[in-house]
Amino acid sequence: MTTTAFSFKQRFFRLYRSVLKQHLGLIALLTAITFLSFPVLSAVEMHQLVTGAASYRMYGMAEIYGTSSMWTLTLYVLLVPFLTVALLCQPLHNKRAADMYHSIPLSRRGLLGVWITAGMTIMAIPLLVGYAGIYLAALMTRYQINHPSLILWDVFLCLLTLFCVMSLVTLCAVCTGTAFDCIVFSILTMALPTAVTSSLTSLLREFSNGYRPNLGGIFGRFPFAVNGWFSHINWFEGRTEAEGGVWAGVPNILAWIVISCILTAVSFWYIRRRKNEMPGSLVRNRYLESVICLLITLSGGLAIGMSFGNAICGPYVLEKPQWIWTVFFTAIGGALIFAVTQTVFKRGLSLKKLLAYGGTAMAAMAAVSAGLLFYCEVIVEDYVPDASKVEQVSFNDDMGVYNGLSQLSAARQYWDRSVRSGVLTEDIHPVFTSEEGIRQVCGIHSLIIDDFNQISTKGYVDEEKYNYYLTFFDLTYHLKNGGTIQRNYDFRNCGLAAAVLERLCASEEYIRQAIPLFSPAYEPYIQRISLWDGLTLREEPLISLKQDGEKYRRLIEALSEEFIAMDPYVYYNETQSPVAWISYSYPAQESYQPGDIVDCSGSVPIYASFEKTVGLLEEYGYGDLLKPDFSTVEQAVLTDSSRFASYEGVLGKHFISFHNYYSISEVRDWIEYALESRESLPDPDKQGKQASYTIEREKEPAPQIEEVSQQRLLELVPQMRFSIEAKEENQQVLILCTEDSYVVRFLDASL
Amino acid sequence: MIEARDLEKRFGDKIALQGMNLTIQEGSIYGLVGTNGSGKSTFLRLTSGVYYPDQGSIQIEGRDVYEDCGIKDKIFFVPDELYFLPHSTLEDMARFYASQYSGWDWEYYQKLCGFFPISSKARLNTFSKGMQRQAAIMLALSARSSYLLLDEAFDGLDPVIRSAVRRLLVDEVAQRNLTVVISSHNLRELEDLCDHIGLLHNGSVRFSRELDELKLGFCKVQAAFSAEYSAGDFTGISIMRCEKRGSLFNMVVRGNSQQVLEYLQQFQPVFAESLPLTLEEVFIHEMEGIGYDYNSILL
Repeated sequence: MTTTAFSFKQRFFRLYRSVLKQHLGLIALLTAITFLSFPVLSAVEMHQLVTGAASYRMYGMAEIYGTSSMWTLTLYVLLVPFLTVALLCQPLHNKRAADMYHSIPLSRRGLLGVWITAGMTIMAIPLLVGYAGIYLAALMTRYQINHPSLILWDVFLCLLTLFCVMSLVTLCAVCTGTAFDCIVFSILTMALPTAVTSSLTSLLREFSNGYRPNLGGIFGRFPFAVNGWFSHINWFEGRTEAEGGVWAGVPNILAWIVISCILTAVSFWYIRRRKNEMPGSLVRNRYLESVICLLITLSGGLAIGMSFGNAICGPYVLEKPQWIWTVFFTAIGGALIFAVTQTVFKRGLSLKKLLAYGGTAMAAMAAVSAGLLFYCEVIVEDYVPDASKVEQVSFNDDMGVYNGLSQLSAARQYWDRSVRSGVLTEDIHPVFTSEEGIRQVCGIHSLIIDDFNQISTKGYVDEEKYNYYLTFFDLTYHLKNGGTIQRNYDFRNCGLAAAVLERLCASEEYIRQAIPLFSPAYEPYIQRISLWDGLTLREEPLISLKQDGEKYRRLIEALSEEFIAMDPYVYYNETQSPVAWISYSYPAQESYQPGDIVDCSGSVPIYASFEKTVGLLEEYGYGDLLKPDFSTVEQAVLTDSSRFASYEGVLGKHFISFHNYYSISEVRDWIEYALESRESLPDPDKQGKQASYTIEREKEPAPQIEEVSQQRLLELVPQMRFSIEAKEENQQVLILCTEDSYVVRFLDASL
Repeated sequence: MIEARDLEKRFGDKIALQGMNLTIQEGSIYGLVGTNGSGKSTFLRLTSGVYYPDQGSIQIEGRDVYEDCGIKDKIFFVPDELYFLPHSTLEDMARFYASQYSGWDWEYYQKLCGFFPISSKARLNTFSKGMQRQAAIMLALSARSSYLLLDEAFDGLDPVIRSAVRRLLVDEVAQRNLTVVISSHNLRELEDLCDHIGLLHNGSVRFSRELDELKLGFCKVQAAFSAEYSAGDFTGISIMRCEKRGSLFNMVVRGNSQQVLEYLQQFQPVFAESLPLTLEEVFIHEMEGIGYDYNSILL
């Protein structure tokens, strides 16, 4: 009998078909599960969304994943590769199966190729059915998919993630002798990058003020990091990359593809060298085992060290004893974790080896933690870049408040495609490029570091100075050599925060960027602009003035010059009351493109000392608004109640609540109640009447209140303030009611 | 031809095979015997390409077996612990092997299905150990490979099937020059089947000979003398073992039976005859000859 030997291709595809045939039941089961948990579940969510029964955020490029179906699909992507690899790669973990598969005339690489190809097919078929189902679900529920062709992107990204997870599990399968080890090693490999990142980030952040290591940028690209689970859904939504718009996810996708291909290539390389006596035994690839063990020890040791360091010394007290305790417990914790890991991996260990391994790990972890802390303290924490080497620096804070108004909100830029839940924006940070500006920011940076160093030795003890109101300062230096340095401070020292902001507000470079009104670049976006009187009772639109470009520019130029020239102490400490305000805004648009300005609004005070501005306003016919006018005020009262003031201690002050939480009728009702309470203290007969007003007042003691005449109001104008020192006693609050609105001001008792 | 040269295989600290040299000619039925852990299964796994040798080489037809699909197409390995695809029938397994072995013969498979009393439609995991072994042998023979490696092949087979399998193997060897390597602890089984025997001990081949040649080296003689003699009187022959009961001597002697009988004639025996020697006895005496305590080696 003459026979012709089969080619590799023939054997490959015959085995591939055979494997698929063997697993038809699994494919059917997965398809049923996927269909229920993805298209059917999404269809329910789509229906709810379309009928308005519920408000869902839909995810993915095509916006087809609902809040629940996103989870179920992600679980599929995570768990199914484990199951598939465990079933298909059985010969790698079963001695008897290994005898059969490795004696047939197909190479090990061929076998692995069949398992991977068949595995992907087994996992992909249910998904493809699911995606086809989701398209039908959208048609049936009349849900508008973002763009039907984008489903293909979602399919591609989902399959890619599946392949990534499978490539890792396959490598672990090739490197281990049992299915249990394969699963344990795969889970550890997936979780450890996140654990190590978290431990290192926590350590670096805790021990080096302001330094926020972007380790997520490194490990976040690792497909199997826990924080990357949803990446296949969020890649293009800017959720993994805050910048870069639609294509922000591309580097991650490429990284995932490269990493998956490398892992798969390593599997193919290693399977030929893999000792076939491994199936069913505890033999593992020693490199994989060593790396896993090292990462467990590092992350676990650091976590234990920091936990005990904090437990003994308390958080936020970064004194040297905490360093010592942290290093000590990191060494102890690392040694214990290493010893336990080794014992588990080797299924028991002799005492002699246990002590030897533990001792080595202890010494290594002590060296690592001491090295990291040295790095934090000496290299990172006190480092302020040399101003002469800085090309530009951006500075922003989230507080940005003076006189209770948001001054430094700057403009906001659109950076993501439209999502149904709203528009995602980002602040445009003021950037200093002048030598003086850069030096000023470096000086502020030094000031912040000095303050932190004081806190390190004293702790937060001065209740008045440190009022625990958090603000965040972000500094980003772009160096002339192309490098970037970022610092981010959670700041509690309100006195210093005020001083820092005062310094900044003295800088023309900063003010022109932080107040969009002063920047010609934002002029087209200012589509609503009004002049308000000093009490914000009367409004006069300035849009017609803006249309007369010349007059408008003269006014804005005069205002910006005088604002920049004035002593910032005046508006920070409200030593004067504004005679008028200019407020401006950019109404919401129907749609935006990446990079578009989304928000451009604010208010700028005009003081009596702004002679040029005031003169121009009078010349343009707005002189009436610059004088106090209480003719529309129907009722004015002075009270000690702080009901209408904010209790937040920004900069050590209390602020008037600008958001009129109460209606004018509620305020009038409250005034009536307060005036009656003043005449007769509450008695049982008054209960019925008291219950008629809507503001909750039971918890509030009867306020001191008195009505104020219009003549008296004119005398009080210089005392009217938006904010008041938090520690100031006898705070007097003035409430002015017109026919349909009300205004609240503090009265400066010192005048 | 199967040729092992300085073959070595280690499992961690344990040496399974060390410096093994062995040649198995085509068309022979080679029996591998040895103690538990002597390296028989390891050698078969190395020969089938399941294991990779740590040192030395294992070649078939002058080609290294490991990862050589061309040569592996000519080898079929039946391990001691059988594995079948989950929930598969004999038919499924036949299709699986047919997809991989280019020499697969469906006609011969059908013939064997009629010969062996097992159902090709029933699930293999419902079969007894012996039936599974029959299925494995059917599949192995249907693959029509040139080299058949059988590890404890007769384990669990009933005497009728054993005999049938022996006959099938012999027929295959006669018809298409099949080379069979079979490991077993059952020396009687091998004696009836093999033409060559190799003894493995502690990872190396103690000896490898043709069965007839092996038997020719010894003879068993029974003789009775009218005069009183002791074993020490027979100085002209090399006695391996001697038992005396009265005037009756039972001796195992190294050498040709004819020559031994002629030598004994000078002592005027009442009678002297040569008796057949079993393979087990040959091994016992061979191992004793090289200083091994056979009780610890052979079962």
